[in-house]
Parts: sequence; structure tokens; C-alpha cells
Amino acid sequence: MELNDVDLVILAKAARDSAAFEALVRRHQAPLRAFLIRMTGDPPLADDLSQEALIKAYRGLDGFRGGASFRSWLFSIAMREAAMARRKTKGETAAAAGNVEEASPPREFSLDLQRALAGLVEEERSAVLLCDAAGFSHAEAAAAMGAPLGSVKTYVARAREKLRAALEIDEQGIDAGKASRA
Amino acid sequence: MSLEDLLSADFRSLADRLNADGFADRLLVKLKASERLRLVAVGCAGAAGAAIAALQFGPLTQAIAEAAPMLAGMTVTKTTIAFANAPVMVTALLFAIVGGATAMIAPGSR
Repeated sequence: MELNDVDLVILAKAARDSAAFEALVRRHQAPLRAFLIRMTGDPPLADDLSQEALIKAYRGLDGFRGGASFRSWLFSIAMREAAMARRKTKGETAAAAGNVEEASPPREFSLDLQRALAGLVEEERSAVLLCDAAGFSHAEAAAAMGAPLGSVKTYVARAREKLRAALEIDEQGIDAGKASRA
Repeated sequence: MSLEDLLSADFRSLADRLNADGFADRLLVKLKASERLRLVAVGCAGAAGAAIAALQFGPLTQAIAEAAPMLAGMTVTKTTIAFANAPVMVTALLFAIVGGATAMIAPGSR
């Protein structure tokens, strides 16, 4: 039987060297890295940030009280790391589309998507990636972003609008030209 | 395909590829190595502290014996316990308390 995150956190807290944290890492590392790659547009940076976030989560596991989901907590650590990295590099890496090829499948549509994402305000990008890409609920995204629920809903709505415009997608779905390439 | 489906499919495909690139293994090796290092550091610090504390065992026993000479003077009868080595026992008890308290606040202890 597969244990849920809360059970794994309890086990990991009880015995630091247990396999429980390993299971949490294996479960969440790929979505976390995918999120950070789409956030930053820079896969090596995203991996560094993910590693730092997972190490901090491991060391600070006692700080997780279970008020939000584990993945919200983990993603919030990662977002703080990303914000710190951005401050250090003064925005040089923010959503640069330059390294997209390395992270994305060699398909024109993914490049379009990354460029469209790069055109969003950071909060909008976080919110739409968490809710529409990573499958977070609005409440989970709000916990991860440290933002009010209402603001997150607004960010998601605005981001969808901007992405639809950038990708030429109408309310019903993707247009014919893009669909053939996707 | 809606925008939400598109984002979700793109994210899933990216995550699937990332799942198989060995990142988790490398990270876990690093975590275990740093945990071992931390345990070695804590162990060394504990051993050094214990060695330094052990040097004080004799003087402390002597001080207790001088402060409470009646402990060393007690004799064994049917109704009393042998306290001939009481200063040593009191010193050992003090060391045990200090050791226990240190273990409770040591990093990583729960």
C-alpha cells in the first residue's frame, strides 16, 4: 500500500534516516523541477533550486506542521529559493527563453508556450503553472505562494487570458494551426 | 485541446522525462553523505566533550567529599545503605544528568 505524504512526513520525522523522505523526494522531485523549469526557463538553475529546496525541506522537516499539503510547503520553499536567486542575479535569469530547447521537447508549440509563459507577471506564471499545469487546487497554490486565495484566482484568470491571446487559443480550445503542431 | 489541457500535458511530459534522469538518486546520495558528516561531527564533539568532562571527575568527587564529609563516613548497617563511595556516585549522577541534558538539546535529537 502506498503511503500518503502526511504519513511519510510523520515517518521521516520519527527517523531521519528512514526511507520515508526518500519516497517523498522520488514522488515530488520531477513536478518540482518541471515547475521551476517553466518558471525560470533555465533547467540547470531549476535543478539547483530544486536541490536546495529539497535539502532545506529535509533539514526543516520539523517546521512542516501539516496545515497545508506537503507539496504546497515544498513548492513554497522552492519559490523562496527562486526569489532569492533572482535577487542575486537581478533578474538576469527570469523566464529567459534562451535555454528552452534544453528543457523542452523539440516541438515548436512548447517553445511558444515557454515564450508565452515568460511574458506573464511572475505571480501569474506561478499561479497558472501550479493550478493548470501541476494540478494544485487554488487553496494549495495560495499556500505555496503565500498569497490570499482570491488573489490566486485572479492571477490564474489573468494568466489564462494572456496565454490564450499569446497562443491564439480561444475559449473552446486550441486553434487548428497550433493543434497540428502540438 | 483547451489551454488547461495543453499546460497539463506539457507539464506531465516534462515531469515524466525528469523522473528518469537520476536526479533523485544523486540528491539522496548527497543528503545521506551530509547526514553522515553531521553525525560524525556531533559524535566527535560529544567524544571531545566527554573526555574533557572526564578529566573533572576526580576533582569534582574530591570537592563533593570535602563539602559533605558525612557521606564518606557512613557505615553499612542493617538499616543504612553503604555510602562509602557516595561522592563518586553523586559525581557520576551529575555527569549522567549533564550528558542526558546535552543529548536532549543536541542537533537532530528528538
